[in-house]
Amino acid sequence: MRVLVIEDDPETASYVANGLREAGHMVEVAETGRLGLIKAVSDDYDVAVVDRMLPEVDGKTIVESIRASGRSVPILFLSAMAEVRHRVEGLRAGADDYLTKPFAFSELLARVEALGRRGGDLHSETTLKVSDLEMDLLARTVSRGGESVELLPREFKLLEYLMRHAGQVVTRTMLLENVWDYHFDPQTNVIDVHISRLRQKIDRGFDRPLLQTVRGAGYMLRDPA
Amino acid sequence: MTPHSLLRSRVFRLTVISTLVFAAIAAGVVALLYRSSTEAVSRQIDATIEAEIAGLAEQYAQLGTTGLVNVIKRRASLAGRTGGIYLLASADRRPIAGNLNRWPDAEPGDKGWIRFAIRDTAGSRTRIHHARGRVFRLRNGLWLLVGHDTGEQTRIAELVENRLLWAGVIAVGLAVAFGALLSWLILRRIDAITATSREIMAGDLSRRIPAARGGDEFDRLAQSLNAMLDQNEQLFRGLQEVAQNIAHDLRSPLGRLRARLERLLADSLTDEQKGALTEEAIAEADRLLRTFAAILSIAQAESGAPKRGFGPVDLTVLIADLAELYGPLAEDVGMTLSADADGAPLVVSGDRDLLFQACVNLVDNALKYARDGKRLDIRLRRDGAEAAIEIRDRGPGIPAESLGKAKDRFYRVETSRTTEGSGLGLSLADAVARLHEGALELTDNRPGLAAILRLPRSDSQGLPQSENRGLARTGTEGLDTAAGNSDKQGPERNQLGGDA
Repeated sequence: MRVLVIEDDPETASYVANGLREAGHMVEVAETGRLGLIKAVSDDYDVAVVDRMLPEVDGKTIVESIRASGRSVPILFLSAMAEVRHRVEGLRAGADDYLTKPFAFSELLARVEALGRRGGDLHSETTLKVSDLEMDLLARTVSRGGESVELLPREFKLLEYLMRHAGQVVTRTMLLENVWDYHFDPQTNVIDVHISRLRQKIDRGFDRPLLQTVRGAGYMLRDPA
Repeated sequence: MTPHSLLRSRVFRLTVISTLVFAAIAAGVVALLYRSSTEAVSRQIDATIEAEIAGLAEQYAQLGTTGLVNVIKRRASLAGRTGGIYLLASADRRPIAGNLNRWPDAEPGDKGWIRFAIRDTAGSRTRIHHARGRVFRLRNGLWLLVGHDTGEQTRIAELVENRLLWAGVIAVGLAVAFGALLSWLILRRIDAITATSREIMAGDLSRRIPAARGGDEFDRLAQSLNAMLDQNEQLFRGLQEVAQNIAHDLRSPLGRLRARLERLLADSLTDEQKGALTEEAIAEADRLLRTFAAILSIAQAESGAPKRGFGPVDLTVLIADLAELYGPLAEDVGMTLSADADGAPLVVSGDRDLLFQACVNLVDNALKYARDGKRLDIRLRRDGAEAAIEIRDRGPGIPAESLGKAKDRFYRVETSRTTEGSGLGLSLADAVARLHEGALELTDNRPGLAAILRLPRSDSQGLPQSENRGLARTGTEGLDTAAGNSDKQGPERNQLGGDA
């Protein structure tokens, strides 16, 4: 993926850029808001990572300008401001996701990759399939290897999110935000318990487990083949 | 008090001004009285003159010019006592009889009334008398002047004016002296307050303004200022304590973090050991970051800033989500979590995420410390104009003597020190409750701890519930949008709810 990082702090910029490069992405860094905006509207990127506080042109204005120019590049907003109010402001300006500093790099990577592969019309799909795991979004049924799997409503939603991001790392915070729709700090491994229950239902009795734990980052659903 | 500071003193200026104003009023009253009394005297003189004229006219009518001359001579001889002035003059105004040696120069005015001066030469001294009279021309062509000496009246007037001037001088002097005295009395108190505040600003927080018990308004001012200073000092000490606690509580995890990083430098480690150490170090750093995030959240909640994002939140949905999220975890640690909320919406105005965080903290506490109690009961209750979220466990509870302190930042019950935790969970829940104009109550559940989050209800005021993010998403059925979209729309909806 081609990722544009608009970040004025050189340390954060190189930390983010190096990490993304190691993960196999092409990264361009813009140190000022003006430069970043020029790059964003003159070139095609798969994801833009935009810091909120920037010299010359601030992050919110950049996001608004990118959207005003008609570009739909997914934008991840970075900010030291954790308040809900600011998160809402950033998303309202046109950002697609929001991450508060300081962040774990695994969290940033997972979110960037989730954003980058989001293209296409997700709503038109009626079935999701990962290996022999199938989900019917209309009938709201799940089967593995042809056998029906009974899921609670929340488990269904959790699995849907994992299947939509199959092959990508999904962090615990991403799950809390997208499956439970709450932004808070759980302090405990509350998500792990739900994952292990889901795992019991979809992987138990099968040789090849689909739902994997990614150490220090989160979870990934993928076809092991 | 220097003369300069005296002039700048408002009390001094006000006292001087008010004393002068009163002196001016008094002077006005005296002047009025004086004027009316002089007018009365003038009228009396005029009446005397008229009476004399009437008498003389009668004599003239009966006895003719000779009789008139005789009467005038007689009366003029008595003039020393009566103050009367008489002069009969020829047609060319040369004196014939009377006690005036020449006809006055002044021209008579209306009805022959005239004001004139008399030169009274006694020895070497010449005195000028003022007089008032009336002039007639008799039928035989002679001139007659009947008047009265007003010298006495003029003297009294001069005397009164003189006295009034002195009274004025004395009044001004008294005003200044009075102003100075009052200023000194009042400034003495104000200076004491000023001096105390300077000392406090210089760093001595224990200083207080001297105040007599229950006295005047200055004592009351001093008492309320002192109460404010007490509160400020307490807050400041609290802040100091928190800062010390932060330093103290963060030192050990930082120490552990440092120790792990140091061990990573050792050559003898296998890759696997290095990986494990790195993970431990990251976990330690994450815990530190979480502690800071919690401190910031508390500070933010206490600042009241999140209020701008408030919207209607249905606690019934919130509690259902809480139970659904934490039920499996409770089960895993051997507890039964039961949530009891009657289905009807119970709406408060607030920040959905912060309210959820507060509940999560209370549940977390129970899961951490009350596992042995086996049960965790969450109940949502309507309590008049309030909604009460009760989280009751049957664990060891908090000793009665610690209940008051349990909500303090970094406070941890002695027996729980060994369990992992920041000591911020209850502080944050308390700050969130206060942000929502509610309260967090901690009581004995006999056995265990009952944490009750009281929040003022807003559903009685008819908030637009359809816009509520919590209501819009009942259970899981409402959220059938793609994940990528929902993370964009979720907060949007919340904001709309907040604006409504």
